[in-house]
Amino acid sequence: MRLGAFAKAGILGRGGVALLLIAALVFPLLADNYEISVGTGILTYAVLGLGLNIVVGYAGLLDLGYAAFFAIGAYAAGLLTTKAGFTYWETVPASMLLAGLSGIVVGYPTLRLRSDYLAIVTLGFGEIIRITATNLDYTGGPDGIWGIPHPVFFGYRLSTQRDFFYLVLGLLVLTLYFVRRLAVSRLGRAWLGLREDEDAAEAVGVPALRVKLLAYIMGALWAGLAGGFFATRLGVVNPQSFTYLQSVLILIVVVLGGMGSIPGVILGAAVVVGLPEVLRSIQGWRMLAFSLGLVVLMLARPQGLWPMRGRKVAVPRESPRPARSEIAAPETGYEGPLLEVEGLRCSFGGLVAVDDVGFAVRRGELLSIIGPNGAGKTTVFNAITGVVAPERGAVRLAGVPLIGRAPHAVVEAGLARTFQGIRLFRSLTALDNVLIGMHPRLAVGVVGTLLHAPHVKREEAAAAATGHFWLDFVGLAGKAGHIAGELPYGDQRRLEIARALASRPLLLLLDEPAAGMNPSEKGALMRLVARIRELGTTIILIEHDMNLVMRVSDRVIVLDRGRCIASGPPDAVQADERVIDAYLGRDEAEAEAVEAPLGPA
Amino acid sequence: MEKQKLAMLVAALALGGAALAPARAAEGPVKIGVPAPLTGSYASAGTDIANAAMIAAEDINKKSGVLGRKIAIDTADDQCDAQIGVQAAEKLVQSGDQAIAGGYCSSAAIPESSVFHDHGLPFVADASTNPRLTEQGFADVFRVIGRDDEQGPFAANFMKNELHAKRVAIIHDNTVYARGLAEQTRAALKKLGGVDIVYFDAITPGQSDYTSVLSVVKSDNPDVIYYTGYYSEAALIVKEARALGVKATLMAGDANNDPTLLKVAGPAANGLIITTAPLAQFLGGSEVQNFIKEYQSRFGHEPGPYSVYEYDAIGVTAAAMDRAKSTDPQKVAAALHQTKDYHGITGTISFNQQGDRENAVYITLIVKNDQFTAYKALENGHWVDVKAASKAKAG
Repeated sequence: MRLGAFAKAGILGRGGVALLLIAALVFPLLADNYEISVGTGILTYAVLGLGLNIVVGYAGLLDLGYAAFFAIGAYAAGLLTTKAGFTYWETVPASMLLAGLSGIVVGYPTLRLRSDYLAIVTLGFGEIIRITATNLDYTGGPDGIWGIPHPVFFGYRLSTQRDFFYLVLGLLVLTLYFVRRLAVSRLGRAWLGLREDEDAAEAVGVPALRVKLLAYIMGALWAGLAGGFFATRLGVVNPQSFTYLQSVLILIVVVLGGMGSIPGVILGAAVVVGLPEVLRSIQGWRMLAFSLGLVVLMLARPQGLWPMRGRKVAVPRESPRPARSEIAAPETGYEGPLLEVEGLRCSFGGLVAVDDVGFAVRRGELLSIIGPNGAGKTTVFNAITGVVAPERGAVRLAGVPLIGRAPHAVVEAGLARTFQGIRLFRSLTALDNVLIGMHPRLAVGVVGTLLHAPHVKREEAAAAATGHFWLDFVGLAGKAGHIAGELPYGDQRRLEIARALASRPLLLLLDEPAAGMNPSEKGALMRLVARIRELGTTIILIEHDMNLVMRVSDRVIVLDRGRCIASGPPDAVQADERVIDAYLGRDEAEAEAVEAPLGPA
Repeated sequence: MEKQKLAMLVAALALGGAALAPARAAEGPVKIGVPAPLTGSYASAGTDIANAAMIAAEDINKKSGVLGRKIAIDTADDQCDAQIGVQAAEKLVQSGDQAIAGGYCSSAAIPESSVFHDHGLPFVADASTNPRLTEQGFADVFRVIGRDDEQGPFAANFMKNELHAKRVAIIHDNTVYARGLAEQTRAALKKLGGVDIVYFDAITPGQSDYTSVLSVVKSDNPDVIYYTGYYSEAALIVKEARALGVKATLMAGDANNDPTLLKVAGPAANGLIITTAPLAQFLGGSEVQNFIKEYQSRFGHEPGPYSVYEYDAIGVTAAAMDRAKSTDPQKVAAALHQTKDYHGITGTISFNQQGDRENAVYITLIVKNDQFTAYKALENGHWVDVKAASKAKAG
């Protein structure tokens, strides 16, 4: 019951959290040693769960070897106290640092892998650490490390269950403080974006590899912290405590509680540690009952006991009006064409999708690319934005070569895009979608987030205001707090444009923005496009709706079977025989009349 | 300032705790706590220990009990896990137990021992063989079984002096226990000299095919292969080694005297030699036979390997209480130290200074006609047949 109350922290506000903290402080005065030791177990798993939650819950990376970081923290504390004479308190930063560093070691080479492969690799990592510890003489081999001293706190030697409960409670509060910070930071949003749609996150400017690596490091820190506590509490560290099952148990804490949900993870820890204790009376059947309990709980609440909820978003009463310098496309000082594409060629397994395509776009211009399905239009976009690597050709934005850059680096250079099929971060709010789009334009790093420096608060507040502005700009002012996936189709299209605009691009690539829209929505889209151009943003548009294309475009190029077959002002292109032939179509009779002289294309 | 307040708070809380310590009843039954893995991978061993404790208590209660009071057994599942073990230990302390006799995995028993020590409760271990258990400087920890560092030399002696092996392969599974035994055997063989260790490595437990490892071992041409891990892998190794045509004598450590091994390995197990503390059925004496009969009638199957040791752990604890004329934990611990030639069903028990059993017994078993049969014991430096065992079996 106490634990149930504990988990309500998320919705209780400040007063509630303070009450819970007091309840937790009083608990050991009322409970017996056994209950306190169970409480200590729960809090230890809560710290571990909160750490793994960063990796699994936020960043969406399945990690089956998390116990390895736990082991590293425990061994670091054990070795430093028994062999180097450190006190427990001195080992705390060391344990965390070492666990964090091993996060880099496991993360760097493996994070390029997609989730299922990553799961296998992390599983292997977990076993490697355990087996290394079993075989190294330095770590005491299979016997592990013994005689790890209890911590001394201002002359008082911590030794009772109660002492350790208070210690781990302190560690949990510390963990909660930082983990909450991370969750609502620029980095936290980037993790959520990755979890929702890695490609889309990368395409709106989130450096996926770096951000994933940070998830590993930030997650590993807390396992290191818990490991050090484990070592000093039990006085013994041996490899047996860090098996694959341990990793799975911590994963259950996260999944059962609710991935990404901080109160959920604490509740999950209470169930995973507490339930088997409650079931002690049924002796040998208790683990069976526990497993059945887990199955029932997961069936009843597949999202977890306390699922993650979107952050509550307060819609500002008046729409923010940021200075033009905050929203307009930045000046480049480059004299030549904004975008230059030369001799672009892309092929997939022998099929040439784009062949020798070249064009240039002037600053402020709106260029449309049209052509039949399969003509290679989206492939041109993908090649420009770094999603596919072209075989040949050059792409320069304001004179800066883009080929070879990762998609997020292309966004940093000033190029944003939307997708043909909508790719929003579906379970996040509209505002968070836009804020993730602002990722490359924000500066706060991990250290700033953890320290919660004043400039971080300022940047967050300014970012939120600008985010609301962009939502207002595309006509979603009142829907900032809505979950993206639940918005009507037209709103989703508009939200995707707002997300792209949030990076303040020099050049915006819109991939069939009008697809599936009704005529009035198309009208609104046309007006929106006009307003985007007022910001000084250059636009390339892929679109099938000829009416729209003819009205908004300054220039049109036509692709067919990967080649550029025509280019020019809209009217000229519309009248071009080859374009009519390849794409626009004509009456039967007319077609037959012109087919002979032109011959096969 | 704040920190000092906090420190004072912590200190005040600690003092409060002392007042809340459970009262140990001076009337009603004498409670003896039995921590053991009642669930998880080692549940069968743990249940066996709990069952044996029950029989031991009943046998004592049938006579006159302890100090005129009955013994009650209080079990707690530790799942062989360090953290859960601590919780289980606290649970036992909390329910007012006067002494503890049990434990299975060393990795759980050792953290448990420190909880018992903190509360001043004597702890008699029945199955934890890791040397560290009694080397923590606790005056209230004892064990009625041998230590891993005695089994290793015993196995080495058998290989060299009885089997006359020249080339030995040692395989373990990277668990604390198995690697410990493997290393101690290797060290003892090196000390004896004249034996080449041609292979020393781990397998991964839980696989279903060890043929590739065994092919490598076979190519090293050993006279003896000693597997120090647990029975489920040993059964496969034995079966696959024979299928590969390995001619070496196969040996395994004391985690392998389990009927499951015989079921899985089938006739291939014949000739397998196991180093072990004696099982109930290989111990002589009418008490053992009574125990086995009682166990079988109560639980419908033969007692497992550690049941007799748990029986004696309870017995030796009760005897100490009688001698101390008290159930006060400190007096009982002091009396346990005085234990000299206690007549247990596993033989006579005396504790040395550290709390370890003096002259702990090991024997070898051999699988013959698809069952474990007593084989050789070391007496006065010579290897002799274990006669008492086969006689006892027949009787």
